[in-house]
Amino acid sequence: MSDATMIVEGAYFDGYKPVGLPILFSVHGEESTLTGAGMIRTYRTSLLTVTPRIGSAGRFIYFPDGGQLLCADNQCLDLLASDSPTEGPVAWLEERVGVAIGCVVLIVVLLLCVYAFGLPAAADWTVTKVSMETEHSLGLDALFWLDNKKWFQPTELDNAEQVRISHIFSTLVSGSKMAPNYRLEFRLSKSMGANALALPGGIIVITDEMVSLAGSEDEIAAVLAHEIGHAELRHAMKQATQSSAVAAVAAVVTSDASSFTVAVAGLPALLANTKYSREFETEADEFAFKLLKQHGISPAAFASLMERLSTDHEEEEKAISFLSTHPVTADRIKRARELSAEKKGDHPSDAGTEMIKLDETDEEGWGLKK
Amino acid sequence: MKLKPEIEAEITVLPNDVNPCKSALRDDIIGYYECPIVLPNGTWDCRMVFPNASGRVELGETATALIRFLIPNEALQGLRLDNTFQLLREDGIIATGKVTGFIVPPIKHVLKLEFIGSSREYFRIWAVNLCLTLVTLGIFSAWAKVRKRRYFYSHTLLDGTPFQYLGQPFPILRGRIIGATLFAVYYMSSHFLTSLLPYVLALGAVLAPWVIIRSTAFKARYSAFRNMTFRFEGNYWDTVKVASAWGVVPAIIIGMMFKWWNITWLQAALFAIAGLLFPWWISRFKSFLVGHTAFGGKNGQLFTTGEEFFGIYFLAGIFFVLIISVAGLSLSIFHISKHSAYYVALFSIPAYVGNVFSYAYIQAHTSNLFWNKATLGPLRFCSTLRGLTMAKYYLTNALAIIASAGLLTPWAVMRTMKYRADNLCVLVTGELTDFSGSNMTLVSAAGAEVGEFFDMDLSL
Repeated sequence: MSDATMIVEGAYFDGYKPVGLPILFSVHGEESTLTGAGMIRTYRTSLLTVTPRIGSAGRFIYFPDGGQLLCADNQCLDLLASDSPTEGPVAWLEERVGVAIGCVVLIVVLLLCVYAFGLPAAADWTVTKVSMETEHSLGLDALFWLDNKKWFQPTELDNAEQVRISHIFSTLVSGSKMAPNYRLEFRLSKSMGANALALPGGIIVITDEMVSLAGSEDEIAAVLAHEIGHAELRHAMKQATQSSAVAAVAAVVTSDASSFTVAVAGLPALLANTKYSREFETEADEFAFKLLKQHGISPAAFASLMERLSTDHEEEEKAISFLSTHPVTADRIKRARELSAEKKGDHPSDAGTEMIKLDETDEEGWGLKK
Repeated sequence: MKLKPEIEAEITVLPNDVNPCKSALRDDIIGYYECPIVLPNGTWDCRMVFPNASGRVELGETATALIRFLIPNEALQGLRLDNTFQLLREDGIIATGKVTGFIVPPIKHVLKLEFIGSSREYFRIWAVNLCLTLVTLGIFSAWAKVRKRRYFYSHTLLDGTPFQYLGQPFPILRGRIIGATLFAVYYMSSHFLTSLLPYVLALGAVLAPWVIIRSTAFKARYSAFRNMTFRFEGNYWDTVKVASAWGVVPAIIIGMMFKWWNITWLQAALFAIAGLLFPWWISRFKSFLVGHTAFGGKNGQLFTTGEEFFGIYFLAGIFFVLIISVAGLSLSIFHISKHSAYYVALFSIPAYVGNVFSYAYIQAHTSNLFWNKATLGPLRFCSTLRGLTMAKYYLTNALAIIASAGLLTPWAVMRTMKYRADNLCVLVTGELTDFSGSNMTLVSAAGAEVGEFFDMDLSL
């Protein structure tokens, strides 16, 4: 018999009683021996396995007869076959500080890339895979849900007014490829107040309160154009895709923190989603300005609509803008004014104003006031 | 005249300080423990001891006295003492003190439970596994789970021996794929193909008890101590009986299937009933799980009652409602408009803190209740978590994680686990050899292909 290549001391557990026996384990090439506690047993080394290394914890050697030996971690133990071979390389990585730092850097870069490019691109791609018909029926479901949950009541606008607004609407969407899917719904909403929403599939809802707050037809056109922007750019579907992806990624990243803290886990998802939401608003604004100009309406109508209300909120809004689902109102107004100045010059409006409110499509958030 | 109490805060009465009662004067007394106190000289008379027992002071030559507390029979099921006492000297001087502790029946050994994980080590494991999970689009998460579990188990020592996690990545991966598929089906049917939802819910209701059994069994089978695995053996119908909560859960599911939710009062009534029954349900459900869990041929037992859980939830709920109303009231006193952004901030911070405190209270006290009322063969447990301390941990964890953009997560995990382990001890009333295995390691290794399903964490 050759010299032992490895000798370790440990506690032996036979699997019948939870009591450890002090035992010496030695490997002599092909053969291994357990000695101590009144027994000597010999095994073929190739039949023994050892649990993978983890941190600085002790490891268990498994014997074919069901016994196990607990011994302190030891490089020599790697001579035995691993009980879970795929974990070996992971354990190797886990032991290196450099690797851990590299991983943190990689995680940060990866998350930023996914956030800035990956998810929006994935959402764009997903949207192309969903047919307009499917999206439209989703929108109808959503409208049905909102009606059912008493977010909306039947409109109290008279027929002439409805016809007038519908006419503006059909003029605005006349050039669109998805024109046949567009549908304008009038609703009274005590809970939302002046608001307009773009549901999936070109279903646009405008509340009576919004109609009465808008001072002119141009302002109604501005509201509608903004919502058409959301519909045309398929923001509802993109938002649904992005928010579920964000939720999934956030769940993975914060999985460790979730059980030891309260509500920290939701924070990154919240921040990410509101950022996307602000981007959608800005995109819809830009779309609306273009559409309005095409129809000879100055974007100033949009600005005037937003203006009065913003005087109430401006200061606070800046303070919490990173948490807001909408861009800072002043910036939106400024942008509208800039654009209107470009072509037509200022087009002051005497209208009453109201912010164009939210048009989220995740089921909890529909049209909630901020 | 009042003396400053010599026993000021808390004495943890170690269970091995408990002596069996030699002269059993009363049937409801099983023993006593003695607790040394320091008193100024004189003859002291014990005037009032806590309600469950009586006591007296035996003054020796020295200024140290032993106060003897008798232990009532309920201590068999675990009894926490939290009592003040008052001692009277001849000249009218009164000393008061407080004794807090936990008592169990005659204890032969105390097995030390310790968590020896280190933040540095766990940081590396966390970073590597998170990175690989993200890079592999989640596939690696099965390995990550195994690595983390392995780390937690093998750094939790009971009586010097680490626990063993025997789960393997591939069965977990398969379980996760099935779980993700089922979740996707549910998501699609609840968001897009709503006409399918009733069928999906019905299927889910039929599968749920099975999932509960399988995941609990998986957890038990792949947890081992000293080469002996835990086992869970519950059958489907028993699980249905317990999980259905006297028919409330089926009623809710049927309600979701047939859109009863449009009837507001019915929805409110069902949820009110479910909420009220919850403490009794959770007590029954946990007793069911513990009762069907075995180690070394001994089944566990849990002696909790619904009233005990109700008390915990009720207090936490009252506290939360109080905080919210105080916050709301003070805001309305200062005329802060509901539409103002400050309103949100000023309201949500107390609401968050109130939430943390009640959550921590519930966590600490349900955990204490569970462990202190559980037995496993010759083992008793003693859990001494405190709601305030837990809340402190939660709040500082949250702050540290936010401030470090998540990098302190491993640190938060380690310190919380350490706190929990430090506050749980295992007491042996008989001998460890009362446990007797049948070499179940081999059985479980052969049964390893029985995967886990939802990987639900029904942690107790």
